[in-house]
Amino acid sequence: MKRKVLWGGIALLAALWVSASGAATSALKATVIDRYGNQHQVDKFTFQGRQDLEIYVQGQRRLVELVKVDRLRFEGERSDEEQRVVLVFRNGVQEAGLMVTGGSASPHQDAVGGGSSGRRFSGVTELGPFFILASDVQEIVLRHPVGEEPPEEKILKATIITMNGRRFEVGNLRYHGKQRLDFFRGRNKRFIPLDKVARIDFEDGGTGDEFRPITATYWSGKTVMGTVEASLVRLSGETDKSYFERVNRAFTGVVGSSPFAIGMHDVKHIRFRQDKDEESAEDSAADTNDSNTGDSIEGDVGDTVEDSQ
Amino acid sequence: MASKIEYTQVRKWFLVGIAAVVAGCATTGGSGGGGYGLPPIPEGKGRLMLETGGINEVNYYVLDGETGEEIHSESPRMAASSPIGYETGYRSLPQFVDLDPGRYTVVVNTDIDDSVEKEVEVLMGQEMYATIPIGRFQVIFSDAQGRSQVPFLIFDYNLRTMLGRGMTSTEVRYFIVPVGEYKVRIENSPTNLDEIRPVQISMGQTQNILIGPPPSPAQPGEGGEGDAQP
Repeated sequence: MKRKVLWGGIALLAALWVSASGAATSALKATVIDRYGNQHQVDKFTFQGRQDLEIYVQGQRRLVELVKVDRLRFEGERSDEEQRVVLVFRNGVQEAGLMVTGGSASPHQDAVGGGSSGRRFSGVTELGPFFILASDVQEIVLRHPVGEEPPEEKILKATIITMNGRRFEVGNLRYHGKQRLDFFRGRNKRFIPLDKVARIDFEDGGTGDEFRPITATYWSGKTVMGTVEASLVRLSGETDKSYFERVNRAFTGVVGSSPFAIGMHDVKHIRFRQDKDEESAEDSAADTNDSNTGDSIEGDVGDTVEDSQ
Repeated sequence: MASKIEYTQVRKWFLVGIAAVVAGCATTGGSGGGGYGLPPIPEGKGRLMLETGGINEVNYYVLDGETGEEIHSESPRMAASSPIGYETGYRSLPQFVDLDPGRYTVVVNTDIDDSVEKEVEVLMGQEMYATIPIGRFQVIFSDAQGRSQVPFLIFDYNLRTMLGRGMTSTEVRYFIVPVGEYKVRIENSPTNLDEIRPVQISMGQTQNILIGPPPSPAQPGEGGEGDAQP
């Protein structure tokens, strides 16, 4: 009897302690459907303890935040080390990519404390802790709070001017697959959210310089200075593809309907456009057409596309 | 009668439990009151603590949740590619910062391009643990002279994208990356060395990658350099 009471007291204390201590864990909920069709209602849903997925879209690595995803479907076999995955985002956009799911791969002998593949989805169900290997999953439906607005992801439009004066009107601009520019302030790494920036000026770096100074001006008027990596040096161990991508595909996007890419060393200036600018530009273009002046619009949009693919 | 004794015991344990919880609440952040450990939380503030799986020294900064302004930063670690970086000591306490109540984004920089971000809400007088899913590995490179410094690259698992670079050390040196699976490559053309090793990073675990012949144990009677006869 005493033991029961003792355990009861311990359980009570543990429950109170857990509720009192605010551990910032994942608040995501998901319905996981395995390859046998079983559904699992999972709280605190994460992938390898992270709240993002590493996928490859058109060969480019991208980290996708789970909070932006509505559902994802695996379209491969269990034994595949890499599977095609279709993501449906909360804003309705659908995208397909590749994701390494592990398959039958086993951890390397050097992995201390290993013994199982790290590629697993985990969380908590009513029955207790839950995990499932990514290769055993068929589909995942994220359950976001009803009425919660999905995180906004703007499609960034910008004008890029190169070092030799060429100009490109670029849509869906990204820096290494992200909508933020990593830079260094001293030896501290920071980022600039590209959707909050009006313009970025790149100073001239000397030939062979590994870093270029930049000045970013936010829409709010704030100015941030720092340096970005712009090395052309090929590192020992770098493959042809990774070297080419690092040097020549710092910024990617689309020009018209063609893919666009440019290296950090080649950018002189980036000027971002807000939706208002876009509308006013369209209006002015319409006015220009109406008045039949015959003037051509400045710029060589779509004339020259640096397509690295 | 027996049920009355039982009820009394249950009530006693319940009261003891409540008293313990109340005492625990009253000493929140008060582990520093004994002269060691964490100091008490300053009045009007809350505490953000980084739960990093035993890695108690990371470079991080905190952004205001509304304005995005940086309000705190710590950078105790050297860059991974720095030739002078090594673990300088052991820190037993996790990193923490006392902040005004509110929402924040904590960003932990790792030794690759990917940072780890966490949105947290700090409440007045309370400790908030932000779990940061990172782990660490060590690359130990040895040649005929023993451990030496060589540069290496950190790739994603498919060797498609280079994520970062590092430099091995003759001392103990860990590289911090988000949990996941990576590959490490060391290439040295003059010596025909080209090693690619997978790295599986789990939170709270350490992986040691040994490249080159393991250092042979000292033989009996064999002295070090200081014992060499002229």
